[in-house]
Amino acid sequence: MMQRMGDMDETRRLHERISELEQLNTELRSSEERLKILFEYAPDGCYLSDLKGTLIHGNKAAEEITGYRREELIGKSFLKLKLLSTEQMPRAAALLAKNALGKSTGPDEFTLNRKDGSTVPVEIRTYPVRIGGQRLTLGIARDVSARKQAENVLRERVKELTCLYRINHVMQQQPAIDVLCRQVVQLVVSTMQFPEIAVVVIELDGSRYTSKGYTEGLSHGLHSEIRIGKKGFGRLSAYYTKDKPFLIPEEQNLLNTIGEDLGLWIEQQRAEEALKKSEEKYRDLFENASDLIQSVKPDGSFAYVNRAWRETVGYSEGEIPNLSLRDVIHPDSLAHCEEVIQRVLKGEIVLGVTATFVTKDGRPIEVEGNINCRFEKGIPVASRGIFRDITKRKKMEEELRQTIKMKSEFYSHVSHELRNPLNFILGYAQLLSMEENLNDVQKRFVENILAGGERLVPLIEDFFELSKLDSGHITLKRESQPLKPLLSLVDQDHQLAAQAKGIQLTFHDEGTVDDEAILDAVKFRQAMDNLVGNAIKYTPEGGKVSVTLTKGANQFAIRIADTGVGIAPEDHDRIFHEFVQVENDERTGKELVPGTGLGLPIAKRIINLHGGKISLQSELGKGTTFTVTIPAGGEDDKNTGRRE
Amino acid sequence: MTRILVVENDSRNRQLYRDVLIPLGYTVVEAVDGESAIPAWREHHPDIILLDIGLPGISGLEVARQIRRSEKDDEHVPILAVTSYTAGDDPEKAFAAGCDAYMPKPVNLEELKTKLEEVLKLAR
Repeated sequence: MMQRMGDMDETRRLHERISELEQLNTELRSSEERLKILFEYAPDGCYLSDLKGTLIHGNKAAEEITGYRREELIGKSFLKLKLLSTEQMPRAAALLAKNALGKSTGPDEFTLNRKDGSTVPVEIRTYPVRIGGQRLTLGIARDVSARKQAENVLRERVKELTCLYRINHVMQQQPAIDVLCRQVVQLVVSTMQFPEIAVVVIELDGSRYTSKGYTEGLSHGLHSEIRIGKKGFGRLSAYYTKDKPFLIPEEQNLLNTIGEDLGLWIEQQRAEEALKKSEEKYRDLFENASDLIQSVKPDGSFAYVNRAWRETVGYSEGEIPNLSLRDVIHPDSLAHCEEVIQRVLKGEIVLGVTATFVTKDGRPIEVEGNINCRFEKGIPVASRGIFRDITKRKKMEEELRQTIKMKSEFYSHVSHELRNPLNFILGYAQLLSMEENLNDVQKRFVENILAGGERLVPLIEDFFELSKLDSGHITLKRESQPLKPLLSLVDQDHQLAAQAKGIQLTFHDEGTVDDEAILDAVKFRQAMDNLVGNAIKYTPEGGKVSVTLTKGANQFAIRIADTGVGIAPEDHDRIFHEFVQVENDERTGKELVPGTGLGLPIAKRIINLHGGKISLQSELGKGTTFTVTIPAGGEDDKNTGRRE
Repeated sequence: MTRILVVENDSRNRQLYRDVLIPLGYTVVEAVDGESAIPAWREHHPDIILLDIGLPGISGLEVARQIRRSEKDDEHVPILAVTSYTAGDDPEKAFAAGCDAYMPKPVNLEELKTKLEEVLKLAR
């Protein structure tokens, strides 16, 4: 019984053991399957070989990398499969030797020859393993063609950039164009994929620059046009002297970039050259100009002065660099000049600047001109002035002023000197005419003396008036005046004289002319009197004289039109000069119209003093129209009393 | 009898004024220039002065000013200025210098007679 009990226990244990083993076996099997799957689908090519290189096992990726099926590989030595080129064999053998010593290797780069003849770069690691007591090699080969390609692209890119950088560097040295082209062709050659068989050519403006190895008749190259502006100017070309390899797009891009750079560079060089030439041309122009030209730096030293400047101010070219603006500006003019220069340095262009220079020997020179400033990137570099020596002009103006003053004094003197004798001539003639017992003949004689003397009176008065107007000391007494009543008075004053000659004298104002003008009523009326009086004087009996007042935007216009003898075109300017009376007797056969010849000059001066103008239109035998315009608001005060 | 001081540098004009004024009942005293005009005024105490403005040397305006400055408060000799309308010689300046009336040269004798009477009337 006990025995049986013992057997039963034994059996049960055995069963348990069996089931444990079965369990273990199942687990082992599934573990092996997992490993198989991992091996089979690993992304890298995995193989097992013996230490002599005979392949025992390989995975799917190994098939893909080599292009062989597994059956074709297993049992064969990779040496015989020609998977590796002969040159790589020793290195491959070295790996196996290391594995035999129990060492792992890698990664090492190899190029595998695939079944289809193409090649693939791989990185191989090997590990010594022991399976079933046998010593084997586990190899893992990774396809690195993508990485290789990226590396190549990067290498090419670095080459390109290096090439472009070097070309740029050469360009910055501002070499001659032929020097640049020769350097560029060499640099481009070294950047090509296969420099040893590459030839680069630049054809430019009829010249050809080539790298070594150039022969006529090269074809199938890459080309890039060199453009200046939009115009083709030359060509950059690259060729391989052997058919293989092919030129790649990256090389085309490189050529395009360099071609473009060359075009821009040449364009820039030409622009700079043109600028230089133009600067030289202008410098020449400046140097020989008759005006004084100067360029002054902000610190007051001279950057440039032209010959006329040096000759006028009296310094030699060598002295200019040590000269400051302060040395040549008259102390009286300095403050004004500095103020102007400050304005100019802020960007203003100042026109009509007057200044006084001092020559080296101390003479003052009056100049007038314009100043502006040259800026570079917003910073003032130099003020540039162009001046005219107006010393002579000033002197002439002063002489003219003196002459006018003398003339005015002369008029004044003559006027005075004429009055004294006239006073007693007329005085005694008056006394004589008062005598009661004069006979008719005597009376006629006395009347003629009186008439002659009286004719001299207005002449003397006009003389004096003109001397006052010319002296420049006259001040208009301006007040706001309605023009219409003023002209009506003039009209009335002359009605008698007009009627005496049967002349129809009329006055109109066109539209509403109630507006007032600012003027000296006495003087202005005198001018109008002279003009209307003249018109009546020069109009034959039965004619017409009309005075018309109109108002424009900013001015009044007064037209005095007559149907008189007219004024020949050549006399239109002359009649405003003193003592000019157009001699009409020859044409009309009539007596010369008496007058002082000063009426028009006086009228013109008065009108000019009011800021107005006088003009005339005339046709001989038909009549004359004088047109007087004066500003509606009166002239600016600064012009008051100034000579015309 | 009205005493008149004629200040005039031109001898023929002085003669003219004598020939005109004496028949009108004036007593005529004369000065030939500005310098002698003041002493003549002091010496003769004229009732009226006919003063030419355009005198050489001291001008008529200056003569008028000096007389006005020298007169006492209750004194005022009427002055009729004769102006030649030369530079610095116009009616306004004559009035400013103290003249009472003016007339232009050459003078109208009728006007001269009237002006003298007017000025005298004002002074009285």
